[in-house]
Amino acid sequence: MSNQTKRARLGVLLAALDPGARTNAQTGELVAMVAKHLAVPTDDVVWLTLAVLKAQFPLRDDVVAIRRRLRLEAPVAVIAEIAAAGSHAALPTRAASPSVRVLTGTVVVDVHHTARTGLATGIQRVVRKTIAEWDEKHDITLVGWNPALTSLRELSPLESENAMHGTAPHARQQGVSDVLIPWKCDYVLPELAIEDNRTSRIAAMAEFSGNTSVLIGYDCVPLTSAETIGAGMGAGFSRNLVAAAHFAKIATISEAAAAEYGGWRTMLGSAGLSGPRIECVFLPADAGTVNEAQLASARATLSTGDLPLLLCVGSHEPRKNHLAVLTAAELLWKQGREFSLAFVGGNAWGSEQFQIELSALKEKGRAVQSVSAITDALLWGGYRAARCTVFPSLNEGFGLPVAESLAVGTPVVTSGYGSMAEIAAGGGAVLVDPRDEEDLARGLASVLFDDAVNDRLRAEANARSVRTWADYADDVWAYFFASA
Amino acid sequence: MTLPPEELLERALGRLVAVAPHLLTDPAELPALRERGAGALLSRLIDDVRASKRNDHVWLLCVGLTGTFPLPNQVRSARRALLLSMGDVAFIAFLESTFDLAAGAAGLAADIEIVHRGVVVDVDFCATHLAHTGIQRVVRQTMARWHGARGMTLVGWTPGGLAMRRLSALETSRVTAWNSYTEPEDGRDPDEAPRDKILVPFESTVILPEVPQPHLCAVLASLAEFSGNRVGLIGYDAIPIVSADTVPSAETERFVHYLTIIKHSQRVAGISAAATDDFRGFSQALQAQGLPVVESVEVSLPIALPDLVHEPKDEGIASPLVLCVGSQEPRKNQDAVLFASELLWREGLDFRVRFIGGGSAWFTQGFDQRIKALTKKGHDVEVWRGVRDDALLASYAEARFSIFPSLHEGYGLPVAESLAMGVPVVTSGYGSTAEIAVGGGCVLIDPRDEMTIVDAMRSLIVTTDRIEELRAQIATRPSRSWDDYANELWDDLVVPLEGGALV
Repeated sequence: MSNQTKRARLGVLLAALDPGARTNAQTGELVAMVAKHLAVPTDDVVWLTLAVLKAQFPLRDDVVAIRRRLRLEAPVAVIAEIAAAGSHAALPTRAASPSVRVLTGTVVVDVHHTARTGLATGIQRVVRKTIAEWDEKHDITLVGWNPALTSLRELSPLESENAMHGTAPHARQQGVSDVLIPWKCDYVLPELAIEDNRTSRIAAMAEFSGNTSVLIGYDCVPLTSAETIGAGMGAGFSRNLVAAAHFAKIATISEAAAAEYGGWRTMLGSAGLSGPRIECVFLPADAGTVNEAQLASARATLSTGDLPLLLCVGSHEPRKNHLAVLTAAELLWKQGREFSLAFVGGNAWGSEQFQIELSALKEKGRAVQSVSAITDALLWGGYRAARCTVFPSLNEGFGLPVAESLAVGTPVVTSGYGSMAEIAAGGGAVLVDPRDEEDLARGLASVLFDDAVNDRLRAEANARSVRTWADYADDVWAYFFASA
Repeated sequence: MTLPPEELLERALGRLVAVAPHLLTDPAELPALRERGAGALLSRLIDDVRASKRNDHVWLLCVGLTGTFPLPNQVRSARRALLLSMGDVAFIAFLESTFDLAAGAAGLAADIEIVHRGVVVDVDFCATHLAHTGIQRVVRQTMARWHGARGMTLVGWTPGGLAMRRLSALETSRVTAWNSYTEPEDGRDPDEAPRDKILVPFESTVILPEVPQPHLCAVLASLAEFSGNRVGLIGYDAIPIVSADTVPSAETERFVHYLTIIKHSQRVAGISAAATDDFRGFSQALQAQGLPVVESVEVSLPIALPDLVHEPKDEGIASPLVLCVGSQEPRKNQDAVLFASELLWREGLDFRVRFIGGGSAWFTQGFDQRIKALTKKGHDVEVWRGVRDDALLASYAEARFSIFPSLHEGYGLPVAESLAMGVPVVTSGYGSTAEIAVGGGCVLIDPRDEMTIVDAMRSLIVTTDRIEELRAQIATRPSRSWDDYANELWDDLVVPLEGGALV
């Protein structure tokens, strides 16, 4: 904790602007020296001045307003005013006044959410695997945001641990952390940020600060499939895109996601923006292992008797199309086919109808069940115990359950387009039209009940080339920082 | 209004008879089935729809049975019920699956009119509201020209968005005769719209020239995805996405649901090349969902005046007037104009600035304070709000040039208006405003760099040569009228969509 003085912050600012400057001068002198750098105001210096003197990342309007004032008024007066407003004396409590540090020439990785969550869904897994690899090979600085989401800060040791390994889900900020201001840095956003306060400040940083900003793009579902998302995501995600418009590069997790982001970039032309470079760096998939006991336990939990197991992994939101799975399964049961169906995944927005239909089928005595408490042992045991998995999603940035099932050699029936078709191209899958339940049923029947088909797909799946998280992390790093 | 059961049954029979010719495998059976009553007819219809496995048939049968347009999940649920059942069970399963749809009840009393292989134009908002800015002006100018001249039916929606319906005479006037009809003083419609009769397009072309209200998005998305009708829209802009930071969150939320209609539509006519690219980009993004391309075609708006005769005034001896028209909000960048003006006044230039347009209080409060501060310093700057078109036109006549440095526009109506008035414009050098400028009469600036605005304003204030040159360019601009727009829109949006069902 500190109560950095106005003079000290001016010194920090001046040192960043001119590493050779004499920063131990009196306040008035420091103001005059800073003013020289703003005689002709450039956006990056205006941004840095505001960020350092106020210990808070500026919004777009803040930068523009000060830039204009610097053109109308004497820079010395404007800077003195900002310095006074930002100093600890002007803040409500002395304890709230953090120290400001300028980071120069490093790679700053924003893992605000990942550092503080116990969740381990798709995005968090990608973030953790990637930054853990990077941390071993490169010099990176992990950062989060202060509680008001107005400035970047250092992570606590526990937060860093949780960001990389997910092992400290209750990690929190401790006390007042230093405000970290990237200057001539690379800023990486590997997770999805949708909080307005945060994205608006990231947007201004990307547009004005001169730092080079890059992000991992997962999908544009809130824009392209609004019928499948809850309220608030559409606006939150669009403001994430407003920031992304000023980024240098996006690494998308599939070609399908690249098509979504590419379509959005086409739209930027009407606002006079060219947008970032967009390239796909395809995700890898884990092949989780289980022991015999775990495999047997998963089989016992998920299947009914000795019936072949059809496994469906994922939450029950409408986009995952689990109602179509229930319909296709019932079509097969009505034909007299025997198999058991298990869903592994939590409830989500809009899953009420799924629960109703599921109960109706259970009442009819169908061999179907749904497990929402997922452990790694159950998940990987399930993948390995299944005769076939099914993933007929309507829109996915990357169908992780498709890749995971194939990674352990279990055939998949999945949607014949988008990221799912991309993953399936490596072999081991049957493609169907997810909007046509009869087509889905035909695909399932062939993989579940035709031994020749199942054997061929297993062989294909086992022959797939293996891509590791190290490969992925290296490829993303190379795309972000090594290529032109 | 609650009807007795026998009357409801009679209406149901009427609706089923109306949809039956499109659903029966053998339409010749209809008279005999009709004799046997609603139950027998419905049973046969369910069997035939079940056998056809066509989404458009499921959609139409839902409408016929319930008098209500189904939502996407209701169509899917009905389709799945038919898929999983046979015989008498199918009858019960279908009724069960449509129960929620019918439970709204209002539709059960409705009579039905099918528009088969026709053109249906949804103008619900213009028919029921008196607002008359951007989109409504385009819709009313266009419909005034299509009405009577083109084979089409104007429709709105029944209360609650349950189904389409024809318009009343007054509503039709609001849409097609804005400048000549008389609104009743109490706002009441003397011949209430025929709300107990719904209109159902089938194998038709449905045109959405408005941005539909939020409560209609899901039912229209369902129509676009399942009904087999071809859907075409006018595309205005994607500001709520691309410039989401400049609009309230609710507007973006509304817009992404609007996009769920476009996702399953066939054609969008953009009001500028920039707007057309916005929708082309959206269609590109849909590849990830395996959906067919939504064709985008540019039908640019005309350069035309409000419908009003104006008498140009002399500029007189007053200092040059710089006019800035448009709603006051951050996206329109009026603060940059204030900055540039202040800088130029300090340089000693003599000119006046007038802003015309309304705005939300959260922005105008601060804006008005900045205006007041400049006025106090002795600068000639004013804001006019809520003015009529004649005051607007008089201001154009008085102006040396207008300025419109917006950050993002689907079209930039004030640029077109200014040019139509023969007044040169300073405007943004990209997107739709740059497109309009191609025809001449404009000075392009970078709205994100206020010094380019300063330079452009200075050059137009200090000399008259450049103004004369721009005025001469305006005089030679090719003319484009609302007639041109309305004709092109019909040819490029409606005509390519005509021609049967999409299955």
